[in-house]
Amino acid sequence: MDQHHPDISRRHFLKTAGMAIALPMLESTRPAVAGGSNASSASTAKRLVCTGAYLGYHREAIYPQQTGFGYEIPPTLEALQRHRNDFTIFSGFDHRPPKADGHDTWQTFLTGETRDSISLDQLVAAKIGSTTRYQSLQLSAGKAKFPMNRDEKGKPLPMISRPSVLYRKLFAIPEDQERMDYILKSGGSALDMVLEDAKRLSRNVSEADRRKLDEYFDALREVERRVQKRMHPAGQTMPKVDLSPPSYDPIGPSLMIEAEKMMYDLMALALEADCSRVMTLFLGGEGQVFTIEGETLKAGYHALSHHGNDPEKIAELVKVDREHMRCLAEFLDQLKSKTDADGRPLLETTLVLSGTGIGDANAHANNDLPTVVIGGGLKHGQHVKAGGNQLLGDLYVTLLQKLGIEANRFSNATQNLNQVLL
Amino acid sequence: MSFRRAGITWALFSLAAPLAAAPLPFFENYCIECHDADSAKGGFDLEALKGADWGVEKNSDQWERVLKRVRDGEMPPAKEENQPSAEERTAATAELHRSLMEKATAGGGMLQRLSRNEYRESIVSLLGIDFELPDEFPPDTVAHGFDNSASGLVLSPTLMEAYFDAATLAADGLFPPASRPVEPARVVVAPGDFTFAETAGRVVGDAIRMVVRTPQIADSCIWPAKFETRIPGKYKLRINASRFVRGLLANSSFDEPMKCRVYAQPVDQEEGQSIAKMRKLTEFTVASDDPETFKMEVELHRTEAPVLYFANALISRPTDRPPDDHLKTPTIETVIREMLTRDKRLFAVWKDAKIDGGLQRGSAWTNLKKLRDAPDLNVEAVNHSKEEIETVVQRMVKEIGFVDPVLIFQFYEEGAALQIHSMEIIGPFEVTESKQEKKRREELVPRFMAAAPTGAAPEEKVRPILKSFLSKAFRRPATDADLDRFSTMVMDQMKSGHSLEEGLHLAIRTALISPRFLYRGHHAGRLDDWDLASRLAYFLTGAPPDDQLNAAAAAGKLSDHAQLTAEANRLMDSEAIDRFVTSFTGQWLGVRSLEDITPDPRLIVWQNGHRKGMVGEAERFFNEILRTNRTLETFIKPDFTWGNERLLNEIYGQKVAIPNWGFARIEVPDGAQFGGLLGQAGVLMATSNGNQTQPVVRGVWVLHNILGDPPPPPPPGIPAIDPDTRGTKTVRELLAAHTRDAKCASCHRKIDPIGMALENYDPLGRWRTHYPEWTQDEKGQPVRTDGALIDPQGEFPGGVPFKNIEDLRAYVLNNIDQFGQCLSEKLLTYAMGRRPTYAERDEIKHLVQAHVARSKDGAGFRDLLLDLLPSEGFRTR
Repeated sequence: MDQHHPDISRRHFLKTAGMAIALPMLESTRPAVAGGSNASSASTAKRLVCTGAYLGYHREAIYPQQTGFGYEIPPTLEALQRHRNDFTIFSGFDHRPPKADGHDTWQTFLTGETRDSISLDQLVAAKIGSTTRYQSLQLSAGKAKFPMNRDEKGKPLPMISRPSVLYRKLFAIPEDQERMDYILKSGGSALDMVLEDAKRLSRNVSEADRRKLDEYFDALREVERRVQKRMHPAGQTMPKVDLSPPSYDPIGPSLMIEAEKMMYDLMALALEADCSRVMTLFLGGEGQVFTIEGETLKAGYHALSHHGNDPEKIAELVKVDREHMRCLAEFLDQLKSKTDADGRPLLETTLVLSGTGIGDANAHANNDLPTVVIGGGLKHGQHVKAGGNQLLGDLYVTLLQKLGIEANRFSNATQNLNQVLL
Repeated sequence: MSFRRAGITWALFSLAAPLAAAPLPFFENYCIECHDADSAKGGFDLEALKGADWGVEKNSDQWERVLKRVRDGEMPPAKEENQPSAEERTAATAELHRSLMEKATAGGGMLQRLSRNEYRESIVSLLGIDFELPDEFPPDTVAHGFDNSASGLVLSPTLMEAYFDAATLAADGLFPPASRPVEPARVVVAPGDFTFAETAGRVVGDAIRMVVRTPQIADSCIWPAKFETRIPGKYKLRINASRFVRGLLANSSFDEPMKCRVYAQPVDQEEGQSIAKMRKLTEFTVASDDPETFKMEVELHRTEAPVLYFANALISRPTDRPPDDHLKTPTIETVIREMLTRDKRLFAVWKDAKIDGGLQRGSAWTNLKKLRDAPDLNVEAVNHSKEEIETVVQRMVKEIGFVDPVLIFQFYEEGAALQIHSMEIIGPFEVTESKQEKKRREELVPRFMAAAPTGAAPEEKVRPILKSFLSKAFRRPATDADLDRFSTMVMDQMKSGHSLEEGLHLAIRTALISPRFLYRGHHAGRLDDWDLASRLAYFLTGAPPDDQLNAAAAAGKLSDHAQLTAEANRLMDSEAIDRFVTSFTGQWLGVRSLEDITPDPRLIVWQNGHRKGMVGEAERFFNEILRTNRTLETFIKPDFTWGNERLLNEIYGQKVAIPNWGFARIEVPDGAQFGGLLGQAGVLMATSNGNQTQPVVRGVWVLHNILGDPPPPPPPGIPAIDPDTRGTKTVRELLAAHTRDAKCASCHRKIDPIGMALENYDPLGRWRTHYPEWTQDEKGQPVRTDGALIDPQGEFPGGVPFKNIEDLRAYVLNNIDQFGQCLSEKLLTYAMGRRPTYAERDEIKHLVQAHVARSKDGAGFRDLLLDLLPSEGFRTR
């Protein structure tokens, strides 16, 4: 097998990913829209993508000077100019965490006031993710050092940092498929066996232990379901894409941006093929030096974020911020050109939240978090500045409602931003 | 509120739930007025607690708080007129103690899932394979300060799925899937396709230039970012390289060939490692200034990439000598001296340069160069004498951390640099049998199958193999029922056309997701020999019991105290104890969190070596006290410590030379500011945020981890006080807010004096006498001057004055049983996977008191640890 095919460069991979996606899933095999009852309503968003930048965005460069619709595009958002009417930029919003210590509190980005509670994406996945092959997918570009997603028990979820792993998960490579199916199928009997094991065990244990074992039973049942879904469905075509798996994994720390682009490409494909409807992407904060458009930056990303207000470092940091936005803009291009079963651009029914848990990495401050929300059929085009008592959670409430989930609160937030966004 | 009303409420209540155990009249007289359900002052509702189940940890904890408050005279508050007599206090305390002993008895643990590390070690021990969990494997949650606490170790579907997949990976390690034929491929690595840190390389034109040698891989090595060996085997490398020596005045001396070393390193490994950790492949010398192609054949293992290192680069740190430094390259001091001697203009600009943090900016070299090349630089007026040069050289060497970034940029532009124009990796040509594969075939598989009778038919082998495997996997003998079920499963596989190996592969996959593998402690109450063996083994080695311990359990020997002690001593003398030391100190002392802290660059040019020095100190220090049975006092006031050059010289201000950038043990002189847990840089940094000290966090840490008197969490809705270093307020003024508010004061009168006594240590644990004040010079570079004087004084409750850190140390030494008790509780929390109950802590208290009494006869920490093993707690789930 050709391990390192020199001709399949990342560019090539990208190209195929962007343009030549063949038959994702047959239209007819697409599950009916999730979310239950009136989910087909045109006003409901069906998918959620969240990205979180570990080092945040330099606020002075991402916040427009003016609020409202007529703002002048700030440097970091330039790449998003072409999507201007499809996104809203929020300033001044945060979760008012009880402590603000930079790194640890970063993790409240999707969880709200405290970090040990269910994150927005998981809340959504539980409601709208059950019909797809993967209820949710957690991805990272760069080292995933800090958890961004938490389950209903507040337990952090792992992330996939290798595009090849994600690729295999989404579009199992044919030669691996056979063995994969064998492992999954025989694994089914392994699951039956240990279920029996656990049952025997639970007969002889205390009440408290039985509750602990319930965790095991619950997990086991869910895994059984997931394993079923992962198995090659008999007589059905797996989503196939006309592209090769990445010839290498950009896990080297200097390749974080590259990993980010690949992950966005794969996410677009996964959304199109309806492999999952809830995805998150963590953007790491690596120490290595990036090369952006052929120009090598003068210091590592992490070091740039501790710029100490040195204008030169800030300028370099903003270059990275702009690059994140360029990747995002290209992702949005794809969501506009790819369509759902009804022939509508995916972006119309996909909510994209791009934010961070840190407001100022230089000062390790977790307040005033730059946040961008895109698509999903919301009313966009503005720069919205937080009023005195508004919380980032207010925005999340609106996102939940837009996704057809009944919610009046999120963590410490009890209001919403419907007035602005609907 | 009226007494009458309170009285009525209470009376009704006590009727409803008559608990003779609680000292009712005492509460009624002194407490209920403020702590009834309506007022619940300080968020504390005695009425609700009264009816709650004492057996629940949360409630017994609350009662214990009540006990402490009453005992220590903290409640009722002094401002209340109605105060109990001393006798009333004693009686109430005694009654509460009796009830707690009765209700919060030993035991009460639950099924304990293996932690991530324990899980990995269990698989390694069970199958013998090298096994690493994939990056995507879920992390554990910390509870009670440790990642192995049963209550934190929940099981989610995501984790179960990860176990399911990891089990396949583990089974593949013993019985891998059939391999497929491979064709060699060719990968071309362009200069821009390397991974490199700022100091390790820079792309200029058609080449990447390297100018540094330091022992850190990330600081000085480059490797292809987009290559990773997927199939181990022989590969051909073609490296196109040249020397770049522009012949400028300063560096014309580099006339020898440049040595390029080639190492192999897994691409997904931490790149903060030292070069010595990498596998050296080969070395070649570059003698020409024109590109030349070097060909070599190397063997690459799975996930490895070839790594390049400029072995005789001129720039190196004086404290970081690279490995086997046989190349006799000049030290950085010599290099600087030669440069300044040879280039008078460069000397002139360095002479006037301010050597401080401002030089770390990328623009520093550009500025210096501009000055050097300015036509109006008056070179004639400069005194270029040997003595003058030496002065400048010494200034530069002293602040080499600030100087070398400038030199690096200079060398990138002007040489001497090693240039790599391209690298080709072609292969694999011969798929080699890796060491792991050979081990698997010759050692691991035979061992796994050893129980099977030789020459038997495959079907007859199944049961004996499973018996040995499952007993080890489940950490107690496999029952016949187990064997029946697992054998049937394997046989069914074989009947449907699969091999014995495939059947066993499935059996492994099944066992590794069984609750009997994933959980330990299946029986409540007293541990039997098998569970005791597991508890001891996971405690001291982070792994399942080894063969000898299993044999002891099988022989029923562990219930005997002497035998258990003997086994514990054996494990403590083995290498496996290192896993305990790393895990326990990493969590108890918090040094595990150092990885997540990046200090303010104005404070230090932070290197991985600093962190490693801090972690290494904590581990080696603890390890020595344990192994050599030093007294508990040694933790606080030791006569020795350990460190590397980065730690000892740059943080502690010592002057030691340690060969091969290793670790050394040094004596801590009397009166030294460093040394001991309260002066250890790792602890002090872990309790700061890398930018500023956090006196409250440090105070809380000491109460939690040294004095064992943890304050309750701050009441909800109270914002933390953020240190404001803009100089508007002093830390002391900020903290004064705590004592003004009674709600805060009850805890902060304990917390803050400790935090203040530690203020003489900066965020990195360096001694300081003043707060820094940062201003900017005309170029906008930060300048540090001494700001306010540190004022470490304070008064600890009970009227104990702390003048400085010495007094805090003295306080702990005077209360060494309190420290001993705290440490013992931490050890048992770690060992049992749960926090000791009230009764268990009471037992610990007595054990520690007895221990301290014996310490005059030389009883040490190791004795204390052994004393804990026969305790009720350790022997009860």
